[in-house]
Amino acid sequence: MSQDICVVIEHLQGHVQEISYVMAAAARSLCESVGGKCIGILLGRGAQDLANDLDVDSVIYLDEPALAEYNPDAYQLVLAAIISEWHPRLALLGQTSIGTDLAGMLSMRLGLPLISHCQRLVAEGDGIKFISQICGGRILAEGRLPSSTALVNMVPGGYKADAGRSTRSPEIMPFAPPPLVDLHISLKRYIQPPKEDVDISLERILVAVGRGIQRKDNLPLAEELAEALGGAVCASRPVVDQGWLQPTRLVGKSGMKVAPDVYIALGISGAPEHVEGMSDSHLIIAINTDPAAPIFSAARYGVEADILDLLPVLTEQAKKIREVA
Amino acid sequence: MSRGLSKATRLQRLESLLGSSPEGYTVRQLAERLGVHRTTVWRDLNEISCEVPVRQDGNLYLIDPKDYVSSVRLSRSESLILYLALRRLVRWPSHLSSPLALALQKLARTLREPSASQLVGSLQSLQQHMPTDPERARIWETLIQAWLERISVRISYLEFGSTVVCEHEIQPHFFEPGLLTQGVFLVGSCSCHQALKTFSVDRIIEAVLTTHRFERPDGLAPDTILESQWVDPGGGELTEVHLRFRDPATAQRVRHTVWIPGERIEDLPDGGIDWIARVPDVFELLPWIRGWGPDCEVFEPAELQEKTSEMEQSRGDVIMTMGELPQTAAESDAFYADLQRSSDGDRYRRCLQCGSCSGICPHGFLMDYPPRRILAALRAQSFGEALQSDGVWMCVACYACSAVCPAMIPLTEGLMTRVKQELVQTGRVPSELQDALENSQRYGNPLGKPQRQRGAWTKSLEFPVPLMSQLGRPVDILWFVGDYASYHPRVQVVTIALARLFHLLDVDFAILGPEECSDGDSQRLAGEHGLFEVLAEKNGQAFKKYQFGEILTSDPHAYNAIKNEYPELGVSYPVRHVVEYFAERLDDLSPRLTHEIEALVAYHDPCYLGRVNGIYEEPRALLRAIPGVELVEMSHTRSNSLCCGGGGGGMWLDGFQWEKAGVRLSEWRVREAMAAGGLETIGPPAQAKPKRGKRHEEKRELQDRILAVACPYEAPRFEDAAKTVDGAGGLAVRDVAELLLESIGQ
Amino acid sequence: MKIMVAVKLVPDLVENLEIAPGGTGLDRTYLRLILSEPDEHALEQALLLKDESTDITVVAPGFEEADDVLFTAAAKGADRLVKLTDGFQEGCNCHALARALRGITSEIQPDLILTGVQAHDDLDGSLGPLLAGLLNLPYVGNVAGLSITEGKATARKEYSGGLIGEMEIGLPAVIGIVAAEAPPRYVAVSKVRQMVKSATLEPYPVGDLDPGGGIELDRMYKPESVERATMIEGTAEEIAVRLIEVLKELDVL
Repeated sequence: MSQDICVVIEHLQGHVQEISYVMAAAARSLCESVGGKCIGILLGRGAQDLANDLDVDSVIYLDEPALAEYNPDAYQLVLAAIISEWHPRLALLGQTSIGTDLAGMLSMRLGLPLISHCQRLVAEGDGIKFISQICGGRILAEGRLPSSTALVNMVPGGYKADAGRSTRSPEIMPFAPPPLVDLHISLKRYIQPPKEDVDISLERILVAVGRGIQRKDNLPLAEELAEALGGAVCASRPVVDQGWLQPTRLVGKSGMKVAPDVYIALGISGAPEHVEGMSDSHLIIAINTDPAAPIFSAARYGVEADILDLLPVLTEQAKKIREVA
Repeated sequence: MSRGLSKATRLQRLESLLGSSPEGYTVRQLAERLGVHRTTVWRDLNEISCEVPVRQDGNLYLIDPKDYVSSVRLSRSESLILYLALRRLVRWPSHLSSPLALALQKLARTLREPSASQLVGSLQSLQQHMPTDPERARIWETLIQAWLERISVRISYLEFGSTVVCEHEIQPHFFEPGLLTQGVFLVGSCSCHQALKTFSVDRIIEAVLTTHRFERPDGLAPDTILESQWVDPGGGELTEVHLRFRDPATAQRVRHTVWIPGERIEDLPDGGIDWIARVPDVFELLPWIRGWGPDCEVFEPAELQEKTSEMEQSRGDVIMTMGELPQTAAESDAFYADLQRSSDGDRYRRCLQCGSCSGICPHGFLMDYPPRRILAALRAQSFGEALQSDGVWMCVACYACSAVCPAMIPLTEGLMTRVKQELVQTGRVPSELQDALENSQRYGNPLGKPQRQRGAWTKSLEFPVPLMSQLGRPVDILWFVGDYASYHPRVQVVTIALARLFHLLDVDFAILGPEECSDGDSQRLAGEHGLFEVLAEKNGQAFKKYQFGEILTSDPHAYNAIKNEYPELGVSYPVRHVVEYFAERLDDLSPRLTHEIEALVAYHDPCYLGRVNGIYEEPRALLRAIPGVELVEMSHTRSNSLCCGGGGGGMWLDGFQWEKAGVRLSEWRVREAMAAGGLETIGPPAQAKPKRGKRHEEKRELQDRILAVACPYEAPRFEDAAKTVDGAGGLAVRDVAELLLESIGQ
Repeated sequence: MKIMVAVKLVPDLVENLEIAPGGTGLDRTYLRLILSEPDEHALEQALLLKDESTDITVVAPGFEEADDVLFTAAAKGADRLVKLTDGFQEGCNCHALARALRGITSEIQPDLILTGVQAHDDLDGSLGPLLAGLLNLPYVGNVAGLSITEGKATARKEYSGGLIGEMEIGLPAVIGIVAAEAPPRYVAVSKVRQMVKSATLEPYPVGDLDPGGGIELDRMYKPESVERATMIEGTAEEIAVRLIEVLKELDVL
């Protein structure tokens, strides 16, 4: 068994998913302590360039029609073959729609231990410690990975995606796939999400407005911030009640439950009915003129200010940063 | 013609004179017009002043017609009866809208609030939908004049079931409302053959006064006339109707009431009956016959029989859609039969389809199937269709329909709840409500908070709140706190205030804490009877463990459950609402209410404290005891109070109901609170005396306004509503307990 | 068609979770277990697929709370209720549960096995993929739309951003449900009570559990809770700059 750390690269419709970079960053930081190489595993068709900006030393690349787009059956067959042959220290897969399909099947098929919801991997002594987050973020679990090959499903948040990018293109290593016949699963087609309707539950950044927005005419202020941040606007009950936003944008007990990476609550008091809908958000920032508003108990960061004053300035800052990036 | 007037007539004339001139008359002028001496006028004035609101302005005497009817003082039940009678009038599709409106406005003032303004309000809405027909109005005017002034009138009359118009000259003696129908009849003597005849006013298509006056024969009592009229074989235009009621239960029911004077009942061997009567207009009986559904078979006359069998056939065409809902006629009937087996279930058959329930329902205008229509659907065996509509979830179980139903049908608990139960059984529950019900099962409260934390609110108090489980001894009062009072941050403030009040008054009390479950009443009314039973059993088990004198609660829903519903399940304890307790201890409490609360306070009667359980005075007594408080009534008060929208599952249907209604009941109520105090309270003439020369109301200065509540659903609902109602920003919402505590200075 | 719904019982997050004295697991004294929410959706999806010729068996691990879960499933329309017994006093990981299901699965020989795509306490992967790997059956997870025609299933697999991949799967197969096509139905308490009287729970002993494949923990703990937000002060400019910094730190921008 080598000390190499494998990263199963995820891609859909020619786009590499961000989790791949997060895992590359994790692999890189481990490799520095543990020794061994960072190796990407890329399955696809004519997809060899997809891994060019990934910070891995080399990429095991399989080019097959059956692998052009993600297919659980084909991918797990191939990965089983690769992992059996390569015996890496760890194989990292995303805690995603793709990675979770594969990890369990591989664990049982190959008899390999599996850890999921992993946020961080830390080299400790001659071992590797994992830190996973379960139960809606309420519980952290720590343990040591065995010294034999193990599988890890990684969540984002422990590593920055940027740390997994690199300008050096990795070496491509071809691999002969096992026969891919009699597959039980086939991808018929993709269905794109409708453009008009925004599903706020899928957004990573939400800018939420409450009564503090005061008038419908002020909504564009929130919309501009949302756009600058690459997110969407949602609202608490009073705003939807007034008809200023559609009910599909309502967050709360009677509306949608959301768990974005960032939830910016503008002029929202924080009544339990609303908080219920967004309390699982990774980071909550609240801006309200009332220092006693209950939202400040739900938020991580708070600002006592009038959103109508703060919003334009905030939007400016956000735009600046994005331009630079 | 003044001399020789009897005293009674003279007093009448005096009254009439006083009311006829806005400036009034001097005694001399009155004496002149009445043809008597001034001293007689003095005496007369004194005499009528006892009965009639005579005003004196310097040396002028007059009666302001506005004051007029306030001399009629009605007790609560008298007021209600009159109100109901007037409500029936309002429902008449008559062409008398203009005089009707005026009459009602005058008469409305005799009623106690809220009936008064409610009657006026309903008339206004009625008038919006009622087209006025000046032709018909004119015909009415003519007939009324003929009747009052005893002038013969020539009418053009459309005979029943015919297109032929006949001319009659009649002497109108009296008007009579239709017994089973909305029509009005005019009974008069026909000039040609002097026999009494009944005319349906709707079929009088022309009326012209003649120049002949007539004398009304003595002893012309409407009832005796009617009796003889209905069975007069010589009447000619009466038609015999023969109905058969086979089902013994229905037959019994038919027997109980005399539907038409002179009707005949003949027994059938198998327990059914034949019902025979003579009526002038057979088709006016149709709605009544329809009401009996398949239980009523028509034998005579042939035209009626044809008509009803037409209807039978068309019933079969009602399209039932899929689902496990009762879709067939048989299942519809089964539901109806089951409904009638419940307590007071026989009353369903008495439904007159008057629509009072749908009219008074705060969400009635939004339901495809308000209560009246559900009953109609049941009779038409199309209940399945009614169930397809989700409108029943607009019902907030406020009890207004049950309270107003003239047939006393148990609409809220009997009908609406049973319909909701039917939907719950098939799993068709709006998702917010589903969560509340599932939470109630799992955590013992609809909010989904851990049961273990039910007593957590006690931690913020500086004195300990005893737990029954830790007390280890009998206690005077078991305080049943309730769901929202335990968990909702806004209502916890009230709970804490209440705890402080108990503490100050040295009340020997304890709470169950985590051993307490939801009372289950709102869940019951939302159709989950199984869940209610589970919750009641759990609470019953907790109660059984301890010894206490009585249960007190600040939650009218818990109060209603423990008082009226739990005993059936074997859980029977004395229970009172805290306002009853505090009102009883007002002597202890009053002296401590030292801090002034200068405000206009409108008290909102919670549905389950007021309308359902009749507690109106105690909370008002408490509020009046607070110095500085000016208690005013909103336009809907007491038994006519307007629901906050939280009951019957409303607390957990907010999104659903708001989307349908576009406005919340709580918002209406907040508007009423902001307007309260604009009405003058009606009182005896002595108190209602206006200032000299000032006839208009004085504008109230803007004061602090408080909406006082006594139910845990209300504080958060009204505060939210106050945020969205324009201009209601200054309205404070406070529970009675909070106000008492504030006045004590804590 | 035979559908088997395999469910997991998980800690109820509404209650406060406490760590057991050993520090490596949850304190199970006050722990209340409830049906994992995605499994509720899996059951709902099965019920939506049900027709006259479909049989639904619900299999639950034999914790105390399993009875209520199974009777509720019956009240909703499940045909057969199986409770796996022995060995479930302490928690069990997904590998163990997957192995415990092997026996009943081979007995039923279902055409379709539905389970929730994940449970919130999964530390060693999710039940669905593990079971599929064990039984050598095809697996698709994160499915929010399922139809069956002639030995094949058509599943709508959800990816982030709202993208959906429509996949065809040959039966028998295991499918991980993220959401049923309709929200889980409500079932009246009276109906469940009826089931308690009339329905049968079949115990299925599974012997010792084998948790191999999971990894033992050194430590389980709760993250530091924040009682109140950290307030950011200053001029509008200063505040805006700081906020954007915060967002950058979290790699959001």
